[in-house]
Amino acid sequence: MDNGQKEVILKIDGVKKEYHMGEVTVHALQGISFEIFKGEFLVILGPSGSGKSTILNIIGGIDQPTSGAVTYKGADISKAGERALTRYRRASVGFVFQFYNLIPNLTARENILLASELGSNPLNVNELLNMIGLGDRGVHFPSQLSGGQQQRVAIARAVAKNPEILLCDEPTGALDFSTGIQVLKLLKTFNREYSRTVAIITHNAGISEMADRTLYIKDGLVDHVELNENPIDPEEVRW
Amino acid sequence: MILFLKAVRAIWNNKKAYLSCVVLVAVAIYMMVAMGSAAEALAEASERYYKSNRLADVFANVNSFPASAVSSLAQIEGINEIQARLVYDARVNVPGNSKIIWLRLVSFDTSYEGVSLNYPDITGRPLEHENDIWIGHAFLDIHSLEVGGSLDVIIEGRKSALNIAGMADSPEYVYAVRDPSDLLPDNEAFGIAYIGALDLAVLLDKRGLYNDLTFSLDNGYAFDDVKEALTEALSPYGLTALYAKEDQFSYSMLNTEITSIQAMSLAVPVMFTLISAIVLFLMLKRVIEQERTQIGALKTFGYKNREILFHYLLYGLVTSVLGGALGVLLGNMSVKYLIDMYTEFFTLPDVRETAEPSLAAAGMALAAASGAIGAYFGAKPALRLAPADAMRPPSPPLVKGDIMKTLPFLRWLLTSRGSMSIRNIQRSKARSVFIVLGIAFSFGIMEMMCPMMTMMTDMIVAKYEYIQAYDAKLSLRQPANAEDAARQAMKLPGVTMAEAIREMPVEIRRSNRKTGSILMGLTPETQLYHIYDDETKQTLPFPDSGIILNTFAADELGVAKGAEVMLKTAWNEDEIPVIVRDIVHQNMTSAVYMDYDTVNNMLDLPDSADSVMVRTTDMEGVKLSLDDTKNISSIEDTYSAMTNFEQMMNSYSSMTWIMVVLGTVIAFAIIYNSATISLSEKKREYATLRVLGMHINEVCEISNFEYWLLFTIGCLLGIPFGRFMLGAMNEMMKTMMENMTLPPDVPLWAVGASFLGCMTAVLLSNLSAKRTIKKLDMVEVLKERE
Ligand SMILES: Nc1ncnc2c1ncn2[C@@H]1O[C@H](COP(=O)(O)OP(=O)(O)OP(=O)(O)O)[C@@H](O)[C@H]1O
Ligand SMILES: [Mg+2]
Repeated sequence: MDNGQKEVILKIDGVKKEYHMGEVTVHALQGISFEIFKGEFLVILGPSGSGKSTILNIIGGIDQPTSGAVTYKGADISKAGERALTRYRRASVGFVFQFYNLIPNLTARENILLASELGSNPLNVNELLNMIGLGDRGVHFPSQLSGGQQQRVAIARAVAKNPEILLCDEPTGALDFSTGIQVLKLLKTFNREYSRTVAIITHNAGISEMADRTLYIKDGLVDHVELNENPIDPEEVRW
Repeated sequence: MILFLKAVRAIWNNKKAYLSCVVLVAVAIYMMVAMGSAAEALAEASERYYKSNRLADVFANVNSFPASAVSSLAQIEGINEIQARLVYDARVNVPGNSKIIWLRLVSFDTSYEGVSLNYPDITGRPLEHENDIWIGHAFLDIHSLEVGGSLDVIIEGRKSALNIAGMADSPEYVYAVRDPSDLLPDNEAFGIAYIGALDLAVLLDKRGLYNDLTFSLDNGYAFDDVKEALTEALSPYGLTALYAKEDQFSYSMLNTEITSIQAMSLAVPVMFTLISAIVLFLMLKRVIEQERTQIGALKTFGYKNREILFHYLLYGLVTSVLGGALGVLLGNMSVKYLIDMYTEFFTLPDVRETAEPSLAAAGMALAAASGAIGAYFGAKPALRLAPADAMRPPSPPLVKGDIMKTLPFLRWLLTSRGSMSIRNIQRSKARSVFIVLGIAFSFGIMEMMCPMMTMMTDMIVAKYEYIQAYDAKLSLRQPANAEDAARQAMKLPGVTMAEAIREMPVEIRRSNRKTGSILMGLTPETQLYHIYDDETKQTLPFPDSGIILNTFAADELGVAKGAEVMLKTAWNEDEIPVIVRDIVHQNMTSAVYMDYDTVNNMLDLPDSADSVMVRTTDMEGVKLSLDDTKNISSIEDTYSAMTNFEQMMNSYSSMTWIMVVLGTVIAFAIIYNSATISLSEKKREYATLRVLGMHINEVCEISNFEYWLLFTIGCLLGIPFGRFMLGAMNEMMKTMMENMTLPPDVPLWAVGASFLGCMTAVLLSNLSAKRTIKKLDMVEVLKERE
């Protein structure tokens, strides 16, 4: 695929993030720049502490950079106010965490419903339940589901609003091989069938084989980018 | 040591939540130390005073008792000593002061032979010259009189100058009121003075006669043992009152006050420390859940259960000991002022003004115990954790018996956000119940206290406007023909209307039940007095024959309309039967009513009135002219009586407000603490919702809805609870103040005010929750593992 033809959905431009802790200043991001294209499947790889989560949180509008710009469809979200940021998260972003973060008080179905009530063009909740293979488990509470099942509910919840971009921070980090594959398949489905942008952070280099592009991050900067002409199927991913 | 640091830091990080416990405990211990010490000091001082100054055991008032007969009373079995005196209330002439001022002159045997009882504390020179007096401190001070100076009084219509030889305070007048119906002492209007016995006898022209007898009893004898014999011996001399020390007004007022301070100093601390213990329990329970991995780690390091438990006990102990220390400190500092406040009403010598060390110790113990108990039960689950268990994150709570399933229609009413609120309540049942009870409790306190104020005002209005339509009531020295008395009264300045009445103490009996009251004989055409019913708000028809009882007397006797009761007065030997025509409910008046002529006929008396009610446009004039009007012994001025009541009301009203504020504070402490705990539990959920794209207000809705729902339930429970407490209060008032009762219903505005009070607490707490939610750092919260 030719990058030139692709539409840029997010532009990260010279983003810095510093944490001041007394005398010490931690430079988590040192002026990182890259772009995310509409509809691509992006994998972000890098050593622990390199700044992956930090940049993903900034992109997702739950954290703000010290300096630099993050432009979404032409608007700079790095300088947006509280209300505008909330609107951005509500309408455009789906977030998936390593530790699911489902609401324990709500059933699987209600967890998804909660998010879909927020979207302006939500996906059908029952369809989503079927898609994640939990059509008959909708009435169960998170504590009654396995880790993989919980993560699938979390993904369904993230996509229920039908967001532009799906951001996942180590979505398979707490899962074993086969459940991990199921989750990856789900992400791929959302990417391909709904033509939504998906960006995932992982420590697992094998996963990058199913990506359109892989971003290697080191010391708060992009080390290099790898294009993948022939992404493999999630089933073929070697762990 | 490190663990101690950890506890202190944890408390510091959560200081607002722990602070409310500190405040609750501090208030509790403060009350215990300050009020307990005050009660103790008053009790001790009064006991000492009564003993050293030998307060008599029995008191009697007679019209005139000859000196020659005194020794015969000593023959009565059980009587030890007798003190016979003349007591006379003289008008005082203070230039420029139009208030009616009375000085009670008590004869003092300068030979010191008869002065073995009720001995006053004297400073100054002996009573050696004619008309020398010792006068009470309070009266002396308030009128800026001086020892060595003199004072003009009017005795039997004649002006006499009395010389102030010194000061004297009497154990009989620790609480100095002229008439029990005054309720509150007024040192300006009433004072006590001792005067040589011979001087007073000469001034009153009552040589060799006494009108006041007091007795001490032999060991092992009680009032009831001598009552009959004394009644028999004194009746021929016009016995008007005979009572035991326990019923002596000053003595019983002081005792009642001490008892009620003692009760308060115990009940409030117990209640407050209990609430604080519950709050600590809930907080610790949460801390344990949050720190299970830490606890696991500590256990694997080899910390013993005992050490870990002690660590968490420290949370409670540090908090409550801090509160206790604060309370002890405040109590120590303020006990002096508190006692000063009481000694303003009670003239008692040598009241110790320091805090009772044993109470401070008990307070600290209570504080520490409440902290330890609350924390212990909260922290106990930590002991059950096995090291490995603790290291694993807690399994998410399982919601059993889902309300959403049993009530599917609720689903239609509520969004998934609403169901989160409901399930949050379900999930933490204990805490929700605690919040509901807390709100109900605060609501109840406010609902009870608010109306007290207006009720009292209403009662005063009823008494002084609807019932007593007169401006003043003049008591006659000698009974007089009704028409004459009224005609004489009409001559007083500004008097436009005058009505004579008959008024006397009466004992009413029905089989074996008895009660005392004041019998009022009114003329049928009376305009100045209405037999007005506070409850039905109607004036009852005049009783042409028979008697109208008040509800209090009717209850005491257990009689209804139409029953026959027996009357006994000072004028009749044998009891006279009368029919109860009606029963009137009057909150602040204890009279029973009959027709004027019927009373006189019944008692075989000539047409004779003993009081005259007047309406006047010139009260000052009436008062000033009194000196010359020989047949008037005293005047009851409706306006001053009302003002006096209002003053008392004002002291109550500050108490009311304190209670309302306390109610709000308690409600706030409970809701705020619970909200803080629940927020810390739900931080993660709320952060997730924020990431999903919920606005701050939408997240707040979920948490607010929970409290508004609990608030509603709490208020609904609080309404009957407040009524119940008001009823209990009423019972207490009844026994404490005999005939005074409060109307039992709570006005709507009081319900509204309590509602607002609790609502304020919920609003404040929700606002603070909003601040927390606003500041929630999504990245930070979601980074941690569960
Ligand atoms: N709140 C914070 N305060 C101080 N330093 C922080 C904070 N959050 C992150 N950092 C630092 O920023 C750097 C980047 O952190 P980040 O979480 O983005 O790493 P990561 O690439 O996601 O690592 P991992 O693969 O372990 O999740 C790290 O050095 C981290 O210590
Ligand atoms: Mg990370």
